[in-house]
Amino acid sequence: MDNIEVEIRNNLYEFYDCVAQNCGIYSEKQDCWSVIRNIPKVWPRIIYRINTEIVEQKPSIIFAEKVKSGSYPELLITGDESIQQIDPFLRAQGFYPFSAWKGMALSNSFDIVSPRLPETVQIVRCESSDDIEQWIQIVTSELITPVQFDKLLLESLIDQSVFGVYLIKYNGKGVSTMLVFNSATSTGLYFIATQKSAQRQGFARMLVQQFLAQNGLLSKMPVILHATKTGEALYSKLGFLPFNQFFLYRFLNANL
Amino acid sequence: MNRQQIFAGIEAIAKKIFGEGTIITEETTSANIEKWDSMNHVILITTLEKEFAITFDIMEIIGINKFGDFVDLIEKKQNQCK
Repeated sequence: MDNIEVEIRNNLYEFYDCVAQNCGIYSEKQDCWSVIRNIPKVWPRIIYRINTEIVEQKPSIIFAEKVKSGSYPELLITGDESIQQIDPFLRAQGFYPFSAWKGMALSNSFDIVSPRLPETVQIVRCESSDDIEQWIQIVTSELITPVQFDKLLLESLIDQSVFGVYLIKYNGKGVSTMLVFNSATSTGLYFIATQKSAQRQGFARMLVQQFLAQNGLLSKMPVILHATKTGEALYSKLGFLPFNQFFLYRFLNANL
Repeated sequence: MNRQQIFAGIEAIAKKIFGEGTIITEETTSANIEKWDSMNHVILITTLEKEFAITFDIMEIIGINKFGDFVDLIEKKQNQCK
């Protein structure tokens, strides 16, 4: 697990890079941060890969000007260890923290159990239009609302071998989602969500366990994810250990 | 300010942001309030900072789960200033 914190960070940042590059969404890389500028209300629109050097004079002026011009998105994420140094700078630009994710990695010593799926439950890799629409509906309503997930974007991700888009169905209807991103050095699990009416019934757990049982042990690469506070307990039970923290910021217009 | 006064101050601010009809107790969380999204969360934080003349540390902000946590933090910060 050496350098696992770096791996957890890199997988997230490469995930965004890969989405933007392969789906033709406008993105830019500065020395101390990266930006994806998708159209408003459509995922992803984010500033990420921020490091401490952003507080230095020249980068800070460039960043402040970009924010002031309105050309930067309203959401920002940083996994930098020097958050206490970066935080006052971000607040001065109008970005305020509102949430955090915990970077987690699957323990090497955890005994992965392959779940017994009831006949009513089926795990599918999304390919059909109907499955894709159900996946988008769950992710949009449970994770990213009021932002939308674009269907063409998801179809474009599905076409690429580094991504795997999964749906667990109960009685033929999608209830839980997951997106897998394989970087060169790790596997990241993203968009793990369950439709509200099906929550607390173990569907997300079954989906992750089944994936780990079939793929996690075959790979020597770390399996990582980024958990919300409520998700952390579930993933701990599945063998994930907590490592670094990621901080989410929202741009607040001072005039509001 | 005692705990009751702090809560009353927080409640008044929260009702302005989330709506006058919103029921707010120390146990109320973001899951209980439909309008509590990321934007309203940062508005709540910055308004509380301004009204109570305090600054929340980033680690404090991400540790907040319910209104009672705000009361605890503000009470602690006021005691530190005495």
